[in-house]
Amino acid sequence: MTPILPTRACRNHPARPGLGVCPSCSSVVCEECSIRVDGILHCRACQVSAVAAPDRPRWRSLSAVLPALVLLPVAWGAVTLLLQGLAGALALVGSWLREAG
Amino acid sequence: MSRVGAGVLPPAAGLLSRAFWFACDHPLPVLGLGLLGTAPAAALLLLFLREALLAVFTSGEGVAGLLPLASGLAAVSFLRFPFRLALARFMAAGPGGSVGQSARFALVHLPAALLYGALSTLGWVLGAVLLLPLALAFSATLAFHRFAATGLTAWEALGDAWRVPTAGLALRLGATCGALVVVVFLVLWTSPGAALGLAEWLVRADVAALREALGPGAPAWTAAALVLSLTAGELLWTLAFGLLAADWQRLTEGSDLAAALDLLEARPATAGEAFE
Repeated sequence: MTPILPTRACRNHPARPGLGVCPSCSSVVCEECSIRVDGILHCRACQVSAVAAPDRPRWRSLSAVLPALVLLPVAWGAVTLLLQGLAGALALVGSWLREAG
Repeated sequence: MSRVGAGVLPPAAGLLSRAFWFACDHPLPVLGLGLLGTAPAAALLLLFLREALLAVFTSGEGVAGLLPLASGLAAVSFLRFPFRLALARFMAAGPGGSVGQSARFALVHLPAALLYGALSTLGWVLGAVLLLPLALAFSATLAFHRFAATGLTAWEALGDAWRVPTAGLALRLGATCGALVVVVFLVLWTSPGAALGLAEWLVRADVAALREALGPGAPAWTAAALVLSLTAGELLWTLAFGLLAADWQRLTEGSDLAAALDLLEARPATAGEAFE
């Protein structure tokens, strides 16, 4: 019989239908690749990395260092430019009011 | 994974109401991290606006002298984000969370906090001119909480958050938070003056000295009320996104169901066979 609802394939086993979605990595996993903790289904990879490698989260910010170094000055400049633009617009209104008054 | 349909998102008023009660349940961490993070930036913004108005309308000077203040304000606005990351971690940790652990988390993940700060700020600044980049600011705010709650990297969390169409909800949240800021400011600004007036009328108390410090005409109290109301608005905004991220499992299951229904609609023949 054809299933009523089409199912998503497991991330690790494309031939198998997925059992659920891991709340940590959002990937679809089958029964073999999943584990239930407190009634909530997780993928084994996330669960293993959370239990066996508690230091991993310390390093996951490393990929953000270079983009942060590039984007921070850009955002800094953008904010400064916007504020100066705002002040410039105020100056324009001020000079217009002085001329009118 | 497919993109979430906007129908699974909760209403903005419900999120803000839950955010308010979350703040009431955890007053010290929320107010502590919120005030430390947002109040300095809000105070500097008001100082900048005051100086700009003084320079333009009173002294008639140019605005070039305001560049150091604008630059400092930009720097302080980025320093909000480590505090907001600590708050996001505190929210994600649930009942077992502590402020110390959350602060440590924010310190360890300072680069990610600053990256989200830069992305969010760029989204707001560019969105103020072009509108569309506002979506980046909204997604970065949601990704921020996703990063705090999971083991995802900053980019993975951003990609994940991009699946949720937050624009409509965020605009409604922003409009409601803006209205709340105005209401909170008016209440804070006028309450001490009203209380002093009542005390003067009821018990003939001499409140002239207090009125100078806390009345609606007192510049210090006006500034304090503005800073507090802006901080409250940003806190509610942050908490609302944290609560949205906490519903992640429900949101993604909704998206999977929507995707499944889309597939079912696209394959009517197969669906018909299934019932035969």
